[in-house]
Amino acid sequence: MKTDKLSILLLVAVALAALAGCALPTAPAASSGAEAGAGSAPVEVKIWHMEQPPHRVERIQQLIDEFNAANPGIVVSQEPQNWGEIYTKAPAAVAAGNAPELLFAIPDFTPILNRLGKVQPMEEFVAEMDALYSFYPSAVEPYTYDDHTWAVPLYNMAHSMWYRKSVFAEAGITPPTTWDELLVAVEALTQEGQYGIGLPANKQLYTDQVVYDFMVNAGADEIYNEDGTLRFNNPQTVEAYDFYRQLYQFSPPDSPNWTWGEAEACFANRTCAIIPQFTVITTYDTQAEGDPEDLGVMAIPHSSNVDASGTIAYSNAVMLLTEDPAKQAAAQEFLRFLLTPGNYGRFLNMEPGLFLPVTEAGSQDESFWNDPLAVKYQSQLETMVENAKNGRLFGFTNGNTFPSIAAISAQNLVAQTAQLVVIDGLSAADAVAEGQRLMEEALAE
Amino acid sequence: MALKPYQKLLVYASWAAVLLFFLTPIVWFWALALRPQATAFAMPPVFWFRPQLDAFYYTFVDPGINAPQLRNSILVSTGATLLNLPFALAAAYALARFPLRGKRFFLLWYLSLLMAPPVVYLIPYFILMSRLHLTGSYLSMVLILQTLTIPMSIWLLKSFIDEVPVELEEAAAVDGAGWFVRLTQITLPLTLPGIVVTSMFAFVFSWNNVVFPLVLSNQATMTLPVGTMNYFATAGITWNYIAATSVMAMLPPMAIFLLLGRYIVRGLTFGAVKG
Repeated sequence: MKTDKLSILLLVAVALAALAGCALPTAPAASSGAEAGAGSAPVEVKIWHMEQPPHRVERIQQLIDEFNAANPGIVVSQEPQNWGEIYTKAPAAVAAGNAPELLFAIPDFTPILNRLGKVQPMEEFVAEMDALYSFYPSAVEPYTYDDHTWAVPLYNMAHSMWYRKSVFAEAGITPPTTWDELLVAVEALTQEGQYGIGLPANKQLYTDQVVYDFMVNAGADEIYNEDGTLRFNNPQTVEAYDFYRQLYQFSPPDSPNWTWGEAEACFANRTCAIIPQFTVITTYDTQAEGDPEDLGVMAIPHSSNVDASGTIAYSNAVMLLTEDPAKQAAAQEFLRFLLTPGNYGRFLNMEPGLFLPVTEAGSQDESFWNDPLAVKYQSQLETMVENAKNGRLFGFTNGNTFPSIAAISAQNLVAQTAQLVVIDGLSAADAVAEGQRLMEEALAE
Repeated sequence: MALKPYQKLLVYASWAAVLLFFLTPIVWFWALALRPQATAFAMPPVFWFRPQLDAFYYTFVDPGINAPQLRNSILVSTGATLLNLPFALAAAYALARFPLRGKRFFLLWYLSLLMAPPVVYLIPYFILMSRLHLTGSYLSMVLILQTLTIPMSIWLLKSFIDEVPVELEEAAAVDGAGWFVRLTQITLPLTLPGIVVTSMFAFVFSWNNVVFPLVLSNQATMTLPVGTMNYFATAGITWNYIAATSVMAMLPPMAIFLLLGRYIVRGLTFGAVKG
């Protein structure tokens, strides 16, 4: 009997030891300085962002460290999150009362949080920053609806078409500006071991983005009518999807499943002559020739029914989720620091050649242009900045901003429509009609 | 029955095909981790290259961003395995030896926990851990991983305990041994290979789980599979770092299975031949 009791005690001890061993101190590194002098605890500001690659996290941490050192009363910390989970995790965090003070966002993420009543209006702060640094209107527009501006734009991402000048020269073509020219070009560029263009066609975000590039350039950038009803099923959208189908013939057979990385790889290994992408600069520089004289970037060609090229552009922003005035003030102080020229360029260069400025002052910020990669690929970056000025985002155009777009984009219905055309072989007209039906269904849910 | 030469050839060819099918992705990843970055996507593919450890050095030594994540994975998986064992063992023993009411129901319930995709439980667990102020702690991951490891371990351990002749315990009971003595002195030593196998599976289940650490960890407690995912982005994807961290993530489970392989064979064939 004695042995029994001893053994039970032993088992309990093992279980407790396991638990204790696991409950090691786990405070985030960045908040280690949270304790201040007695009686005056600093204001803590937690940031959730989705820029997880380690070098981006490191750059943000550098800026946070500088800010914390210069502002002893505030402790900012970061927690990188994953885009895949944030759509469910952030609302859950709000429900659990554990939301961060600052949360990065893209336009169609903001309405989801907004519905929970936690997102703070930021129009006054945006106006203050606008007076100092001049926001590009297209960066602020997607966050302005219901009489408020719900987030502070921080950086922009816009698609361009990437190519090699030498490959074009060899095929005897010049950079196309219209769809007719693009079709001729990709046909000419499709040769032994090379595809004219790389296009995705699966139900995921990259396909959404690339398809929308063509919708914008067919004049189908609006998904909503002014009264909030859907206008996806229209001749311009059908034209865009039909052109996508035609182009797709010159894309690699495995391209439907691609996301951004595979497209970059296809370009880097010269299998794709052209790809639509936010940037290829880092990959081209490290995994391909790295010759800035040969890397070409152009605006996405447009239909003959449209006057000028446009593109998809994501104005990335940050939402304020706290109602505590002290935390609000501290968070805004950090955002002021981030948008200040000198800091802002370094912030954008957490991923050189990808993130573009959302302010006039940012476009001239030396710290943005001084990065070695920006120096090397300056002309490409200038073209990207120029292309981004004609950026659009489905559901957030021309003031026709309707938060219900979140339901459509969350289900990648623009991409699903492309899949119906390219993979399932439906005509563009039938696929777009089905796409509108799916969208109406999503909105009804 | 000796095989004819052409039959042998066929058998070896089949083995080679199966091996090729399973090993190619692993070998390809090893090569991606070891090859110079500039040759990662060269077309035609570069098969011969001078292997280099740059990607491993960057990810695990200097700056070594993923080294703490490797440690975190070991801590979380070991913790989950250790915590799982006493509970699973006790439950399995009870289900195997005692005439409990609703035994079948309990077993099916445990099985159903394994059938549902873990992502279903993600948000409730996140809210629960948030309310307990445990998000970002190792403990939160270790606790939540029990929802996977305990049901699996109970099923495995119960089948191992079932194979130990109950007569041995009955004989001990006649000599005055209580259930705990019978468990620890008779059943446990006889099911040791099964316990080792179960622990290995619990460790590997925990090691490979991404979903729970993805939402429950923070920067300081992030596990290696989550750290690997962080290299995926919309641009500038560093495939060689992804490959290096993936290769490192493969190593501990591989090492465990290689080192303790004999237990697997013994464990999995335990009771296969009944007297």
